[in-house]
Amino acid sequence: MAGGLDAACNESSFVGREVFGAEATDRVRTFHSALLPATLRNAFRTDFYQQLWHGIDLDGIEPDQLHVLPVVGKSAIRAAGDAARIRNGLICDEVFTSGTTGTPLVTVRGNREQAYIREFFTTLIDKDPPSRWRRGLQIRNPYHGHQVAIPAPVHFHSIGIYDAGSFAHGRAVLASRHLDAGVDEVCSLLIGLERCLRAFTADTAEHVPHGIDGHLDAVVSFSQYLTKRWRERMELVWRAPVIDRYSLAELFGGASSCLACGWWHADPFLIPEVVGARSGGQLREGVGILVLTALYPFQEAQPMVRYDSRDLVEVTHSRSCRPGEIAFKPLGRSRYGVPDPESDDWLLAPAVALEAVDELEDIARTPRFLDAAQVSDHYRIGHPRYRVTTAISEGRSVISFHVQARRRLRGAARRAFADNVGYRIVAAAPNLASALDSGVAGLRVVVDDHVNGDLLAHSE
Amino acid sequence: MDANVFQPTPIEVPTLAEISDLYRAAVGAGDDHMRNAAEEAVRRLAAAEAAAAEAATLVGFIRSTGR
Repeated sequence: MAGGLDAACNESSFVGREVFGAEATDRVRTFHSALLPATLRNAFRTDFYQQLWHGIDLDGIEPDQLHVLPVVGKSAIRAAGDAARIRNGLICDEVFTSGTTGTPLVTVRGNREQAYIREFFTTLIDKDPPSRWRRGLQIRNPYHGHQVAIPAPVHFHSIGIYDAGSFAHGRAVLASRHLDAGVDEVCSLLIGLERCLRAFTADTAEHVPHGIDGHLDAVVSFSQYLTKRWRERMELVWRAPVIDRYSLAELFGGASSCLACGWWHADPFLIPEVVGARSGGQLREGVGILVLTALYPFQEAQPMVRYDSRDLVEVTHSRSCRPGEIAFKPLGRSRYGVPDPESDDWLLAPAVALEAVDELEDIARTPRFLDAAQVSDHYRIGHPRYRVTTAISEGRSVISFHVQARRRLRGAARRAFADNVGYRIVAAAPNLASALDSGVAGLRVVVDDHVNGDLLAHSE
Repeated sequence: MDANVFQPTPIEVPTLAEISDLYRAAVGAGDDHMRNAAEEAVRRLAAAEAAAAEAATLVGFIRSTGR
C-alpha cells in the first residue's frame, strides 16, 4: 500500500513523543498495585502455588517486583489439574486453548469472576453512557469452548464461517443503513478471527475488487499472527485500519495494536513482563518471552501468576507512544523460532519466517474451512507449509528449513524454489545473516514432499 | 498469610466502584487519544494512493495461489 498505514505509523516518528503521558502510565501501575495483593492471595489458596512459592514472602510484592516469583509453564498447570484451581463453591466453565503447541490446555472460569466481569463492564457503560450504541459486524468464533461474555455498548450483527451465504449478507449489512432503537445506523466495526477475516476479505476482494464503500472505523483481528501483507489487504478491502488483538484463551485480558504507534499495549487486567529466553531475566528492550499475570477478581478459578505465554515478542519501554510503559510486538510461538545459543537474542523469529515465505506462490498451504461452502478457495487463505528445526553441533546452530512446494518440483526448479526460500529468510533476518557470515550458524532449505507446518498463532 | 486454610469466600479487594474508577483512569477514559489515533489512521488510509492497483494485485495473488 503506497504511503499507507504502516509507513505512516513507523515507530521512529514516536520516539520520545509522549502521546499518552507519564501520568497515565502511573495510573496503570496504580491499577496493578491495587489488585496484585489479592491476586497473590487468591493464587496462594491453591496447593500448586503454595508449593511453588514455598518460602517466599508474598507480602508487599509490587508489580515491578514479580520477578521474585518463578515463571509458571503450561505443562505445570496442566499436570497440577485441580490443584492449581479454586473450584470450591463455584460453578466452572471450561475454556480450551487451541493446541498450537501440542495438546490443548483446558482451563476453567468460575461463575463469580464472570459475574464480576459483567458487573464491572456494565458499571463502566453506566458511567459513560454513549448517546447511541455502535453497530458492528462480527464473525462468530467457533473455537475455545466457553467464551466469557463482556457487555459493551455495541449491537453486533453476527455471521458465521459455516453459514452459507453469510459473507454476502455481511457485505450487505456493512453497506446498508439500519433502524434499531438507540443504535448507529451504520456499521463501524468489523471483528473476527484472523483466519475468518482472511476468508471474508479474500471473498470480498473477488466480489468487490475496489474495496468496500462502507462506514468502518476499524477492523479487529484476533487469535493468530496477522502478516503485514494481509493487514494491508484487509485495510484496502475494508477501507479501515486494522487493530490486531493479542490474547490467550487461558487469561482474561489481552493487548491491542495501537493505531498511533504500532506497538501492542496490554489491558490493565494483565501485568505483562518480557524475559530473556536464555537468561530468564526481565528485558526492557529487545526480544524475549512474554510472561503474564492475570489480575483477581477478573480471574479467580484458574489463577495465572507469571504465566509463560511461550510467545516471542519484541519489547520496548521507550519507543511506543507511552514512554515508560511496557509495549510489545508479537513475533509468534517461540518454539518455532531459532534462539541464539549464546545470548537472549534470536537468530530467527517465527513471525519473520512466516512473513518471508507467506507470499510465495509456489509454497503449499494447509487448507482452511474445507466444509464451509461460502469459502471459494480453502488453500489461498491457508497457512504455508514449512517447519523449522535446529540442532546444535559443536557450538554452531544448524537450522533446517523444511518446506513443501505447491506442486511436485524436480531438478533445477526444486533447487530454485529452495534458493528463493533461503534468500527470503536470510534477507528478512539480519541476526541470522550475521551468524551465517561469521560461521556460527548454518542454514539448509529442504524441499520435502510433505511437511506438517508450524503454526504461528500468537495466542491460543 | 495462612497457608493451611482454604478460603472459598471472595478475597477482599477495593470496591467495584473504586476499581472501575482506577480502570477508567488507567485506560484514559474520556480522553481522545485512541479516537484521534483511529481518525488519523482512517485519514492516512484514505490518502493512500494506488488502492485500485493494489486491489487488482490482490485479485491476481488470490488467483495465482488458487487451486
